[in-house]
Amino acid sequence: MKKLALSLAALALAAVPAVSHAQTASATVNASATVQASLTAATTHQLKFGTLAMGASSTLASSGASQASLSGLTTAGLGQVQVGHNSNVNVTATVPTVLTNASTGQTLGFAATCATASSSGGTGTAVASCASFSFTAGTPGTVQSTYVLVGGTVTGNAASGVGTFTGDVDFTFTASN
Amino acid sequence: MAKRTALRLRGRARLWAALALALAGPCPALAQGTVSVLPVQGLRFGVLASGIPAVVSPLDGSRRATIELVGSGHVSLAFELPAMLEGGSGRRALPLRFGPGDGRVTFPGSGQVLVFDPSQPVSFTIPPGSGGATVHLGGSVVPDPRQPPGAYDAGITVNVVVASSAT
Repeated sequence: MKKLALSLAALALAAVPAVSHAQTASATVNASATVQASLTAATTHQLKFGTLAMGASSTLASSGASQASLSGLTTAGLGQVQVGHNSNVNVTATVPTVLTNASTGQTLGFAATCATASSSGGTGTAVASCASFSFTAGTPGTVQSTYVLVGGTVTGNAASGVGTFTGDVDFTFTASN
Repeated sequence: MAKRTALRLRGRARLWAALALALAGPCPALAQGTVSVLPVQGLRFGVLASGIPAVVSPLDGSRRATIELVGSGHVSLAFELPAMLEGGSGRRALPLRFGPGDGRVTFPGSGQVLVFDPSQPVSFTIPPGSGGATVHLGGSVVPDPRQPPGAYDAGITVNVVVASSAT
């Protein structure tokens, strides 16, 4: 029996030498980058209703079959903003509700309509509201131009008298993915 | 009497066997060969312009990837490196590159530095009581001139094998 005990011990010890243990673990870190968008905007035409009779209203359509042409140096016509972009673009605008005579303080009612076109003065596609809309990049990554056409209606009011009535439509363009 | 002696010997045999099994079981040196892997910081390329490559050095403390190895033992690292960062709604790709000098291991205890190629496995030993090691990773991205703008990302996984021996 003693022999048995010793041989068991020897057997057990023989199993021990150079036992190798391996521990495995893994971890993940993030790699990130942001590719900057190219975005430019320039007003190429002002929205002009031209000379109106006192009390007369006027509408310039920014889209559709009756779309007005762009304004000229002295001629009435649509306003236009040329936007260069390589990504989709979100647009917001602050549109005044009146045009104001800076000399007298008198006002005329105003509402704007907007449309987008792929060429200067091209056929406009109406947007739901000038206040907030968006347009896409046909080929993301490639700088392209989209034209925002601005029309609207000025509501005549004889009581407002004569003079030049003006207002600013302020657009903000933001690149998006 | 003879019977009692035989019983005692059987008891010793069990004792030896138990001792031997204890030695052959979970290694007593395993505590010295244990390493914890802690992701500390991602690889940050920041804002890029289309068409202009960007490089992050493994020496750039604010933008390099950092992974802490806490413990000691013989360590083998293997990275799973993505070839691209992906981003945008269309999961567009931004090529990602790693060069031979983009990996660095620093040993705070000794101040030694090991430079390695992240695309190849690397092995080293963290001595007991040395405070572990820190792995830094740099890299580069190559945006196409027509690279769509937006945010891109990908995961870099490091697999760690810690080996130790006991006799």
